[in-house]
Amino acid sequence: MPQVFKARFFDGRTATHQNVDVHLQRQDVKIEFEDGTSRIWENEKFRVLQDRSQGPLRLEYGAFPPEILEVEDPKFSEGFGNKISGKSPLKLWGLALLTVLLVPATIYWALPLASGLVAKFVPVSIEKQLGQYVINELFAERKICESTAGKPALEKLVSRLTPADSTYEFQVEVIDSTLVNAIAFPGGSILIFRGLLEKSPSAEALSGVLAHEMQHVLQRHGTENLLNQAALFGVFKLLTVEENAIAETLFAGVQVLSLLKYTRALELEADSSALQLLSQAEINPEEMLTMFKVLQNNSSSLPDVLLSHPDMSFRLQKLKELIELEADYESKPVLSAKSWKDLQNICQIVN
Amino acid sequence: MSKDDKEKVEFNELLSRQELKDSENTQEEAQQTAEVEAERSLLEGSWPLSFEGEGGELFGILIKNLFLNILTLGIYYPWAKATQLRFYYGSSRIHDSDFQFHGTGAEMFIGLLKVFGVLLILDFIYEGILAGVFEEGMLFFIGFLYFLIFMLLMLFASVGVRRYRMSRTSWRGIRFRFLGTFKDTGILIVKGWLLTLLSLGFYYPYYLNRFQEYWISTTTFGNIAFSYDGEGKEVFRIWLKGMLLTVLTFGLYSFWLRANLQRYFWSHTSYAQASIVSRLYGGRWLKESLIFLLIMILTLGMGRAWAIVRYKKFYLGTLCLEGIIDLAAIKQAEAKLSNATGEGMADYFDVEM
Repeated sequence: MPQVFKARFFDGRTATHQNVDVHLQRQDVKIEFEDGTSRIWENEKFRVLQDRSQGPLRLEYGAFPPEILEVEDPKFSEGFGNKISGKSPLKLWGLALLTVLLVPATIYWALPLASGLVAKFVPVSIEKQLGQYVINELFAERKICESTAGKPALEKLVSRLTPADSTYEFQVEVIDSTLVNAIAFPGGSILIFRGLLEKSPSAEALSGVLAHEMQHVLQRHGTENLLNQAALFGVFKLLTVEENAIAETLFAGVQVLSLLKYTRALELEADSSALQLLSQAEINPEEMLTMFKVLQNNSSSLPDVLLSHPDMSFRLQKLKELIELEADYESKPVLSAKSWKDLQNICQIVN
Repeated sequence: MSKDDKEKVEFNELLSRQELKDSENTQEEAQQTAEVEAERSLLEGSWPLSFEGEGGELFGILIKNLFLNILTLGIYYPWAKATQLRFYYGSSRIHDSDFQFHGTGAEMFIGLLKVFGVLLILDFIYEGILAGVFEEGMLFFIGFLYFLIFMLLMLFASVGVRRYRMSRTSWRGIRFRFLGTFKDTGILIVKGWLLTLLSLGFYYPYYLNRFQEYWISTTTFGNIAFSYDGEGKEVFRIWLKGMLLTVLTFGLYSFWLRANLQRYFWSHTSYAQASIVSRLYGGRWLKESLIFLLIMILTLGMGRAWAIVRYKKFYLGTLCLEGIIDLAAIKQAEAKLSNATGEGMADYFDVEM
């Protein structure tokens, strides 16, 4: 004898209901009305819905407006195991844990990996436009140094370092500024600040820095970084889809930290690959160490976590280890003493 | 479109079949059933609205949505929204029945795609064509034109989302509908803002009242429309008192002002022979809003589900329907289901009236 359930029947035409008895017959339902008539709904012809777990089970039959059967008895739903999705608490907590793990995993591994891969497919022409755009935004009023004697020296240095098979044309500019630094942009533009030129002990030392920056370009670090930032922004937008100021602040902090960590990894990569450029160009890499010491003295003293560049002493040590691995390099001087002087004075206009 | 038409045809067939069946009944039989039906369908009294959802269940929904949103890079968003709305509506209850939301993620996804399509085309026309052809002065004018287009889209969004939401909401199998049009709403808004500007703001409460009147009287449940009998000068009185006190209390009174306005709007809304009674007061509202914020802060957002449920229980708990309702007189209206572009648009512009 099949079980009988009390239910309410809505015909979809008026807001009234009729009290009915419902029998479950295998997967079909038989509805018995108060006037003695009955109907059978075949299993494949009705939908089973439940909007909240404590609410009634709702069976809908037919196209709009559907007839509706509402059954409060929770036992009734047991007959429809396959028609309503189960919600086990264990599954839910598993999902919650997975979500909590998924977010940092996405930020720390998936995004950098994906941006690195995608960056390889960005055409050089687009990178160039991008680089120019950023330069014009950041250094709109830069003063470019190009004394007639210094310029050829710089060009000589750049062409010596440029690999024969390079798909990039490097445009290196010296900017009249006391900053002791150099920056590379996507597409091949590199800015060297006068301060760095003046502090450089030798042309070989400057070559080390230049090789480092050129590797940023060759390995598309700038583009990669940009893509990574854009993707991160997207992820955070997603996470904070629902307005929530506190979460947003938290995530902004995570974003900054992850970016800094990420760029530090790129810096180390540029350091080690710069050595290859130097050895190809037959330039003494040990001068790079001297240069780093100079930079160390000119760098700020912020704690390590907050620096986009790794701690100089750490970099120095890494570099030393790498140079020792390749002890027998050949080296030829890069510039004559006079050319080097000319380059250092590139910002002085000699009449 | 074709799906809507199909549904409409099927619906009409259903109705005509039903009418055929009805006429076959003997008159005596019909009278008997009518008497029984009338007895059961005539409701008299007071029915509070309530929210029956539980925080734990909403937490599950939010977590699952978050997970799938991340996994699909956000493409899941419309489906996430649909499950959330199904839960919210399905947990809202009046008399002995829950409300029901029938919208689907697929509908809203298509709506969002359309919105992005329009925005992409607008952007392309500007960046790709106009910006290259015209000079600065002209571009300023075009910028203004774009501003107007965006305002128009926002109007489209707010009307569209109401149409969509109402057409997908039901109670006891009967759908709501919104019959307002873009044109009328647009005229109402433009006129309202112009007069507000001209009157140095004093027309604003009258505008609020007019808007409420239009918004409510074009909303129907089944074949019967809601009605609104608020008066501009009373809204003006509430508004003026509220503004003065808000200034005097350094903004704190704005909660009471908002509560007083909403209570007025609700309490002047009726359906057939029943009217809505609102017990929304500024003090309770402020307290509940603060509790919501506190739960969010203390749990770093993890308690969001419980905060929402608590807030919804409070807000719906302030509403009550009183009077006489004849369920048998409420009939399903002709079915013309609107699409979800408005919903997508509203998501983009973040408007919900």
